[in-house]
Amino acid sequence: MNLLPFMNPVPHMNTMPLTKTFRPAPLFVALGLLAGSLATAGPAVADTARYRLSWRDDPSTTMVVGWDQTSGSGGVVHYGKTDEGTNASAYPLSQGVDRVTSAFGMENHFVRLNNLEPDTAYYFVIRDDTSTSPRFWFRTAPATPKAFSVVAGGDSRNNRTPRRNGNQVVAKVRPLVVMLGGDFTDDDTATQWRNWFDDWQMSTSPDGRMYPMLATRGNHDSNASIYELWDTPSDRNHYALTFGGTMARLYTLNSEIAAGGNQRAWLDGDLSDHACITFKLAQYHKPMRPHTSGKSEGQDEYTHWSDLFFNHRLDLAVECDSHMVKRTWPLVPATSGDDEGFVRDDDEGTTYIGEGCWGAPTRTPNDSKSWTRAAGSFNQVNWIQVHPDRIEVRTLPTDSIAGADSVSDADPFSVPNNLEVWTPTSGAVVTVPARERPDCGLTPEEVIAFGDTWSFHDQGVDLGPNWAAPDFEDGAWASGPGQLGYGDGDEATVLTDADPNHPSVYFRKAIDLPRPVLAAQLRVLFDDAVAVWVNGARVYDVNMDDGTDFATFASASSSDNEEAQATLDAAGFVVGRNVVAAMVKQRNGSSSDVSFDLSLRVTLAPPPGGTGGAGGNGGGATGSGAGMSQGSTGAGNPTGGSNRTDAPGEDGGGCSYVGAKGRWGWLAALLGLGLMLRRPRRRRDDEGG
Amino acid sequence: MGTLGGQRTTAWLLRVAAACTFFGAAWQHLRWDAPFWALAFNERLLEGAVGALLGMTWHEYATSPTVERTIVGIVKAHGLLYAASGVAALLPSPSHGRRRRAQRGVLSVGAGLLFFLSWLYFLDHNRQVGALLERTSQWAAPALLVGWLRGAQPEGRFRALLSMAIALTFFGHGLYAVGFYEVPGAFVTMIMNGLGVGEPTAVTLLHAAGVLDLVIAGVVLLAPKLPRRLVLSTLAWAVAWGALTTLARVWSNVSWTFFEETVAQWLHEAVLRFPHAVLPLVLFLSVRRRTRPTDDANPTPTTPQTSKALCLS
Repeated sequence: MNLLPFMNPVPHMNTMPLTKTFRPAPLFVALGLLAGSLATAGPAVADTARYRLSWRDDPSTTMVVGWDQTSGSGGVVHYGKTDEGTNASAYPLSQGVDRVTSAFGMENHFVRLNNLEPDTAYYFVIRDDTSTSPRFWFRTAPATPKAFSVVAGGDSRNNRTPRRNGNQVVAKVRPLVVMLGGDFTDDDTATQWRNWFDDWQMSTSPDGRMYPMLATRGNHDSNASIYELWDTPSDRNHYALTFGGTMARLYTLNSEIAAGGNQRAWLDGDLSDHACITFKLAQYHKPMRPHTSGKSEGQDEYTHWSDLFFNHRLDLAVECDSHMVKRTWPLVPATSGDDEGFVRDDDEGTTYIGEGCWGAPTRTPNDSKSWTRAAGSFNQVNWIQVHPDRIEVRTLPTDSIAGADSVSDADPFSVPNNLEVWTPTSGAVVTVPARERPDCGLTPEEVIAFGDTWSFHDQGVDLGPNWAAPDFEDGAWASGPGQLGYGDGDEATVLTDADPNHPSVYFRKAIDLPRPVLAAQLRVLFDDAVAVWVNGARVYDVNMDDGTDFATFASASSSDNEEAQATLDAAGFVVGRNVVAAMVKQRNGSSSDVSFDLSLRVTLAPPPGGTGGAGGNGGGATGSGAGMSQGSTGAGNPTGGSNRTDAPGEDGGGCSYVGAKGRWGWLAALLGLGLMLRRPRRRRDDEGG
Repeated sequence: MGTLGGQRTTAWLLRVAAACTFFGAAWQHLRWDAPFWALAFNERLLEGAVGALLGMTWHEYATSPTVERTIVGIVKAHGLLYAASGVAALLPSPSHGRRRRAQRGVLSVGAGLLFFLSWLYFLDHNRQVGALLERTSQWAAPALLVGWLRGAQPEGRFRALLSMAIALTFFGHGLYAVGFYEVPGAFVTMIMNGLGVGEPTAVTLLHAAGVLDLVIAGVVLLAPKLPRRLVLSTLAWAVAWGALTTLARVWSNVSWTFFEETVAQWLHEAVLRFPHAVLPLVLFLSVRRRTRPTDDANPTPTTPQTSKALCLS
């Protein structure tokens, strides 16, 4: 029995929040109770509201069902593959609450469903001791490569009309999953979050289909709010999920915690572990290079993520925060010929889209770059279709959604009638083709490590222009392990500290590579400048603007033991003997220290007849499960004006958070103490000095 | 603080602190942005007023290029006012007359705007009191300078206000560092970049520094009741830590690869925080002078004559 035709909570024609829709008048309650006592079906009045879905584990076999228990208790999700309407007892499966969070003015209940079948529709209701929810349904993700779609956007915090419009886009586009890149609400308060979830009910389609959220933290959110309200995998709020077997992995990053450190280490490891995934997409809040001039650069994100995106061939990054629209050409990080650290590379680059305007004041895109494909200023979300051989991105202005038709489940990728698609001069659709993944199934190995032994020449002699050539005779040079240098006290090999300083010191090291190099990653420790050659060709330098002649000094100072890293062109290496050479320069004749050490990691081609091999287009070794990966909780400090109650079985660890009342009490007590103990006033001329 | 030399030093330090904050804020407003959007687009607060006064729906208002241009214009205008205030802070102050009043007026307006800016940050940081408190020294520096330039101020009041400004600043900063609020990622990154340590170590160091921040706040507030040596030691640490956290904005974030961009983005963040180190220094010098018998024996009240000398210093 489907009661949805007359109890549909989706206010497409009526923007009343769901809770108001179902909050009964006393007479209705009495009638409802009377009817309930006479009918076999449960009461038609729900004590549950603000329904939501999310994923914290394998999306092909799990689903998190969440809601706000506005009254009553004992909520249980009754579910199955057949639509039984609101007759909870008719569903073959049921599961009780796994986690409860009393947060942001809501009693957030979460049921984590497991052992679901992939690519399958599940119908469900939530029944508690006094009510039954409307009937909803969702679809699990496919477990093998199969096209699916995503609605991605961000910044829904302080313009409710487009926020609701964006939610209606979800209801009409019917994606497999929604990615919202942060700044859900303006102030992260209980009232705003309740309003937000009331509005979110408009994302439910008229047939009751709901869409799971991959929630991201923005600067107007807190780690606690995302974790408490969406049941994300950890309170660090960076995690990744695989869709369609080896087809796509969606990364949610947290730009509001340190981009480096634990998060970078996790991201690097997870990308390596999933080298064979065909498509890799990421969402995060703070853009690396905002397209509106008032926004500062996301240097931390650029420094710690852009190289990983490039090394691991991330295909698409969804950025937010600026309240406007942008698309870039495929980009790779670079420090020469670049515009703000990026150059266009259609073969190996990452396409960046954004920058978030699901429901926020729009800003002018007045900071476009040479690699910007298109920019605009309007409320929008992105409709991302992930096909086995390509990704297609369409930007959907949300203001015109009311007149648009819905996507049909039978043809989920055709643009429905009257659905407005943004069409800049560069084209309406951004297509990201699948590409070879040369590192699939292969593990980088460190062929030169920090601490390895180097030949060096530190006698202040100009060796001419050919000293870095592979066949240069260096047999008479001294040698010693890294770190090499002087002046810091941490050197394993102390070099000559002349007075005045020699401008340059030479280093050489030969390595044998048994197979062709597919990728190479350099890390170098230096002070004050360094240049690196591979087989006689200069491949990297820092602070060498004045040239690499022996007599010139570094063009700028570095930090002590400064480290830099770069991806090197694999074509510079040969099978057999390779010579890596480096020149380190002093800043001037009186500078106190020099430092040098170097690490080189290469990914070698598989041996003939070996396993692995390129795994583009979803083929090759999988090297990955379909499940979830998350960052460790580490040393994060979630707070957020909430008190969490962990139900039995909750694996979050029983954290507790300081309540808002406690905060103010502490603050008031300290200020009060200060005022009580303040000095008596004295005039300056009464002072003793 | 009683000697003329000491007063000159105090005046000079206050001038530098105020000017740095003004010029830093000026650059921020003229080149970048300021959180005026947190107020102008506060839907809950202004939706009714927008409809009543402008005849616009909130959606029209929030997507209007005219509104955006107006806000940007207001931000830039504040930048010019801050620049003028910075100049006023450095100009010699006449002992009387219209120019003297004008200078104090400009500085007062500048201080008021900086307080308003702190309040905007409070709004923008989800009404976290710590965001309001940690900027106290920035608006207090010019406010204290105005009071100082007026002359004939009770020393006790000046020192109490100075102590309160320092305590609130360190208290607000400490709330973030100890994790009372979620530790900002930027703080962790600063420690990691600045000291070359990993994230767990950075967080531990931040917590320790946060506890010390709270200790500083307590000691400064309770200074009259505490041993002078303890107060001086604490203030010395406050000066050093204030300077370190100020300079860390540059040290940790400026990249040689993107030198111009990162300097443009971070230098002013350090400059406008100079009062975080300078105000504790002013208090340190004041407390230390009180221990000198020569000062105690020869107090120098602020008279119109000494005030004039101060103003011209």
